[in-house]
Amino acid sequence: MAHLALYRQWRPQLFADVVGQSHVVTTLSHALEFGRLAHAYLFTGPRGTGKTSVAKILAKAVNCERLNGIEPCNSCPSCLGIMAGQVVDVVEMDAASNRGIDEIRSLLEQVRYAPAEVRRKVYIIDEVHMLTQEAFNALLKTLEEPPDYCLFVLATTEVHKVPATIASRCQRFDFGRVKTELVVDRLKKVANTLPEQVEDAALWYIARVTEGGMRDALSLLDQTLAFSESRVGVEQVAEVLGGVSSEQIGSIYRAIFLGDSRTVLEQLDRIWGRGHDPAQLVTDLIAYGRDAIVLKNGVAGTDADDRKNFDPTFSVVVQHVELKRIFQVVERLARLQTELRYQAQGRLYVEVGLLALTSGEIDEKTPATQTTDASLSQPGIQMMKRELSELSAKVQELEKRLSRGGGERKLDLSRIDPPQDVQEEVTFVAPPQAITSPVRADVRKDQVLSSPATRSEPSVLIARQTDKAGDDEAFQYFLDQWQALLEQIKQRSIQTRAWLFAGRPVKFDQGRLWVAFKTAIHAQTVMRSPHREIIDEVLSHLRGTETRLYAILETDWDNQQLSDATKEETKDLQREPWVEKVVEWFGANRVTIDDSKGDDVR
Amino acid sequence: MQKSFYQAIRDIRSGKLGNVYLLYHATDGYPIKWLSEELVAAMGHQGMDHAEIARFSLADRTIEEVITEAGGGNLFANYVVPICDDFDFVTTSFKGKTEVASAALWLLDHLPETPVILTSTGEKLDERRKITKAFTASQDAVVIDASKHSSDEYKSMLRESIGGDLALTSDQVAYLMQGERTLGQLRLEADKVRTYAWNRTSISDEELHQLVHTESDADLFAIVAMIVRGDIGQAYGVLQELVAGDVTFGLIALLSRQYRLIARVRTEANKGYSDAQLAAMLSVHPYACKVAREQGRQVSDEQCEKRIVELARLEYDIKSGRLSEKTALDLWFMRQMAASEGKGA
Repeated sequence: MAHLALYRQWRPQLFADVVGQSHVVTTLSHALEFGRLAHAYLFTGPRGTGKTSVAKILAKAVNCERLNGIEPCNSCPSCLGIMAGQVVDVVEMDAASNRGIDEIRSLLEQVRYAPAEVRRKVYIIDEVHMLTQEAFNALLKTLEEPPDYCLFVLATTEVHKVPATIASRCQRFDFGRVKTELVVDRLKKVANTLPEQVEDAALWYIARVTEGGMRDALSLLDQTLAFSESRVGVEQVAEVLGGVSSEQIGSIYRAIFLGDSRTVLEQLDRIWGRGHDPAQLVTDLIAYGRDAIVLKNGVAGTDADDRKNFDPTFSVVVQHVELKRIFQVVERLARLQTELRYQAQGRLYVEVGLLALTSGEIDEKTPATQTTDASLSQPGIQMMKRELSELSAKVQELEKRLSRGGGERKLDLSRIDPPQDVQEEVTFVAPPQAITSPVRADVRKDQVLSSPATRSEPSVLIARQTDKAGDDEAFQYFLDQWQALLEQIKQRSIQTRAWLFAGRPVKFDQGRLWVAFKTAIHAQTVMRSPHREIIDEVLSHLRGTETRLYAILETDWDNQQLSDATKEETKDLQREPWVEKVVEWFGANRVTIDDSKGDDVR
Repeated sequence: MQKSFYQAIRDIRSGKLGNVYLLYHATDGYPIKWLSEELVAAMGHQGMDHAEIARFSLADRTIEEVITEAGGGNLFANYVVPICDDFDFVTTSFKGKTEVASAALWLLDHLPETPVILTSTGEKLDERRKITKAFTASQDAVVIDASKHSSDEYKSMLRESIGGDLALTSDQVAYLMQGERTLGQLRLEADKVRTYAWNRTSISDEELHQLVHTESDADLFAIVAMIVRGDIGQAYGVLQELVAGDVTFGLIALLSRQYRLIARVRTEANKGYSDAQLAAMLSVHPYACKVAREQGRQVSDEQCEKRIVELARLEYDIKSGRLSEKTALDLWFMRQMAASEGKGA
């Protein structure tokens, strides 16, 4: 025999079989018992809550020849005929595919004739909200005063799309989501009849994710049974759903709270290994965090408690964490979720985002993948100090090795200064006007800058090398403060902010912030008055010195990068290996190479 | 003469039958049905047995034709109570010729032996018309606004519809009456409650809320009221139950409006303005001012300001794509809950 889906096998055939919806079942039972049936019913509620099933049971109950109380016998010719769909007087119509006036007209044509096989004609119109306006209008008159032998049952998931004129002619019943514990009870009943072993936790998980939809829950159980061998657990359900198990999510949260980046990476590695979607992972993380907040808040009547039934570690994970910290993490994850849409490297972005979360303090204004100055000042600074001492040891060892090898070059660690000191020591070889004037003139002429490669003269290159560290630092500053900058601009002019929003800062160079735009219209507009003045003013205010905006097209910027990279490669080839090592350890932005003073490194 | 619908029903029950009943603003069919059934029953008490209701449309025949046709009963009934729909001549919706309207006056001079029911969906009477003046002045005609009922009448009709031994609390009656329910809808809901309870004498609020739906607009207003009075958890629970599509921006707008109103009312009330003056100044209904004044006792100016800023940020976060709609709203509620619990977030 062909396999019949669980939800069809277990479709309720009696009022007593209906899970939840006691208010509907009781009212209909009383109506049947005491002869107070309405002429038209409107059943509304989310999918899989029993609307069509109750309509079918009602159709059988009003026509059953051997009623058992108010329950249909399911064995008389009427019940059997209705169940088999063979009784012409009981019409089940899918309004989603028969939505026109012609279909409704042909249906109403039949209303005038008395039932042929059973006592009452029953018209079940499923997904009634899909009918056209004309079809609704055609239905109106009949629905208001149908013949005594007629019963209309309209079912819909979107009652707000049903015209008020139709709804007001029907007795309306709202089918609520089935409570999780009731879904679990029914699933247990189903699972007991199956040869496979199904864990209770898996049933709770199924009930939770299906949000009170009985049909969805049975379908998911069916799917998981087909997927699993002989045992169904939470992991198998999570696999079928394409999500990550709650316990695994919990272990990521635990690692975040403990600042354990290694565990975060290990867990992510496992998750990626199974081919999970980064966006789904972030969604699962947010749902977990939301439940944690609800649990911490002690809000009654919400579904957060359900998680404890399929994840015993949940309470333990969130027990000792401050509510504030959970809020911070969830808010950052929520931002990560949005930002993820614009990232080509989803996994990488999630990894960086979660690692940033392990660092502790979070500033809501910075992008989700960045830590803040505040975070650096706390555990981050400790980590940096540790790294610095390790690097110092390595450099000293290198120095000893060099001196043993008779090397002439001396490396004095005391001369390795933090970036701000480097900035102070910078001396400009050429006056900045040498580059600013022609470019600015160029902008005024064309409104959009051409590639900066056209302006690189020898003297200028030297100047750019010496103040490169300061520029990089300023660039990083603007990168970090980009959202704040946009906010400040927004306060002065929303339009200016909107135009600038399309750009991204790509470089800072001698008092000029280069912003790349994909389209010329954006680049041209931000360079026009009054936008340019507003932006320059905010830039200068933020940095404390005069700073100007320069717009560039993304294509020009890419070309420029390409040519710079080629030059850099050629230059790097000429460096000594030990210089390379120093640059690698300290980062290019903290090391200035000055060949003119006898190969000293500062 | 003009009467309320329920007064007309009570008069019929006491045996005072009118000759012509004119029901305007009759968009809901139930009052017409109820009135005609009461008339037939009262006629039975007065010895006019075997009366039947017949329905006609004045769009395709004249009143003379209807009265002639209905007079003297028919094959199945001794008497016929005619219901004449589309009697729009007295309302502002009538744009036809004056002669046609005047022809309807014939009825007042040729009253039939059974009462006649004239109906119109027109919302307002056109007081300038001669025919309207004639009907409202006539002692033989009862002019009724079929959609307008006083609060007390509405309650009485509701209690009558529920009948039996079931006693509803005043809060439950208020819940049933909230929203823009027509008499027909109220009757359907009352029937449902009565069928559910059957021989019980009371039902719980929870049962009533499960049985009787409220429009999402009404729910949203309830949510706003709950938030303002600090029942954030309850508000969140109600919000979760809303299935009528997107309510986020509606909720934000309503909340912002309410907090702004509270802030304004608090500020201006200190200057000694009355509710009526405040209402005129703020262009809102005096009742809204009264509610805002009461709610203003539970929140400070700083709290109002803080909430308005929070709501503006919430909206900006959603509209700028910074946070997804559901997550942003969830987080906002969670924060409010944490704050109200004093846990600080």
